[in-house]
Amino acid sequence: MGVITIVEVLEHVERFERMLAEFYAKVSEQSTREGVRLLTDYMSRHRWRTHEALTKLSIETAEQIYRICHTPLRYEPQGADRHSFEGVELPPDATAAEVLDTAIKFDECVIQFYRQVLRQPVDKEVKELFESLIRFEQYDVIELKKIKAMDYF
Amino acid sequence: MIYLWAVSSFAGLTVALAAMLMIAERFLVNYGICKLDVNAGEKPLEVAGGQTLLSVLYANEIFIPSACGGKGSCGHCRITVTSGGGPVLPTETPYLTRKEIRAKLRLACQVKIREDIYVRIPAELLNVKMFASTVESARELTHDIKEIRLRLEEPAEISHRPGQYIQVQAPSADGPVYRAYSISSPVYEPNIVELVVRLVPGGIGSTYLHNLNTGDAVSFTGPYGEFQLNEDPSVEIVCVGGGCGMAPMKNIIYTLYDRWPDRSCWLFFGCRTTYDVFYFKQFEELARKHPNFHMVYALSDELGEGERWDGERGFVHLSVDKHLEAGLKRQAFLCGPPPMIEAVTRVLEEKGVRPDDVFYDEF
Repeated sequence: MGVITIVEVLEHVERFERMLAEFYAKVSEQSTREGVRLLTDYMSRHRWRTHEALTKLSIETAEQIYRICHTPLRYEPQGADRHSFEGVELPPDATAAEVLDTAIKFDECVIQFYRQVLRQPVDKEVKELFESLIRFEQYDVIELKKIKAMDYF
Repeated sequence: MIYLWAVSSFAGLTVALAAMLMIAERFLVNYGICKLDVNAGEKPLEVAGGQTLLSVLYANEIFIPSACGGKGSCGHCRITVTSGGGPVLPTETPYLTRKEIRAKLRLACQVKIREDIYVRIPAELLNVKMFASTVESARELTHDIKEIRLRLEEPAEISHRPGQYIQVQAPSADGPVYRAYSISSPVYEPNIVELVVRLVPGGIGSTYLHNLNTGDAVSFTGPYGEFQLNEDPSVEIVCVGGGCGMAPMKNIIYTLYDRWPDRSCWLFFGCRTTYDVFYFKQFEELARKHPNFHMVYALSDELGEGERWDGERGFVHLSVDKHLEAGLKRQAFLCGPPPMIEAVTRVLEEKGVRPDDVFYDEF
């Protein structure tokens, strides 16, 4: 018997996205650097949008593909939760490069979390959904790396 | 031991079966000659089946944008397949919305031609060409930004609009890849394509371009891009760049003053330190010739030891807010990181610029 379903997995990441949005909003509020405030304010809103997209996805999935949504997984994926923030410190004078490096690590946490679903025997549709979510996060990592390379903030 | 033997036997069998399937497809499955119809008879082609739509289009000199070399990882090679493309593949779905799938949009690199196929390609993309060029000059603008001027060989001229871009073919371990760069040279230099390239650590395209020397050969396709400069001379043009987002601005501004010497135009450029400033004197010279050209460079970092700067301070969106009066008819072109684009767009909207009149290149 499975311990977690796909909907619960999506809800888990939704919660993590909300934590990220709140984390970046706090960094933005506390930063002494105008560039970091601008950057983290954008990143916070971006994570809220992702949170909302996932909420919508889990609702749509529940409506349209009930079976997939309630597919039990054999193992509960681990990570992408409050423990991911342990040891992460961004002081008020943290630079934009430091913020972006931290953001990349958080994105990689989410990618690792999704990969744990793909390592289990899952339906083709579930596989496609999580491959798509992984690509979305990978695209985000590329964007963050590009912003870092631009050295604007 | 038995377990290891079983595993290796199974793996060997799987590899052998996969190889057999590939050989069988290569030699036994013959899709024959298929019809490829572009834009309802505008460009009818006959092609050997079994190839990807993207490779067939490139072989027939139809260069639709593609940054990953057909690996299905960039999502740029979208075209409408009205019939004959087969079902949408899982490798395409991450890049297409449901609405796009309903509109029959496909990734050309993932569609294999197995029967007669009917596609629709925007007319402008049919004019995109492959160019052979040589490096005329490569000079450093800052510690990590280079200006690279390419002299066109074949074809010898390019017809483009300001704000358009090309795709440079760069070698990589997995074969050639294409990377997009805005054209910084004005449209009245048809035999030159100039690029402004910031070196991205580990970046395939920028590393390749930064290592080029005078005389080296460079291939690219283009031009691409939808930006259309407003032809009404009473419309003020606003260009806002951040970091190294200068290339399309330079093209737009020089092209603009060649055609409308009295037209009103603003250039806002934001960077961190004096070491990141480039083209400043060149634009000062232009401003002397054209009194309606206004330039504002803004530095966001505190000045370091030995740095001198009499210009604006702070982030570029604040300069836009400070200098632009509300209510004028304007068209804006923005180039820089997404948070900068977002901040500037907000300011422009507050000044009354319609979203349809704001164009941008995000990095």
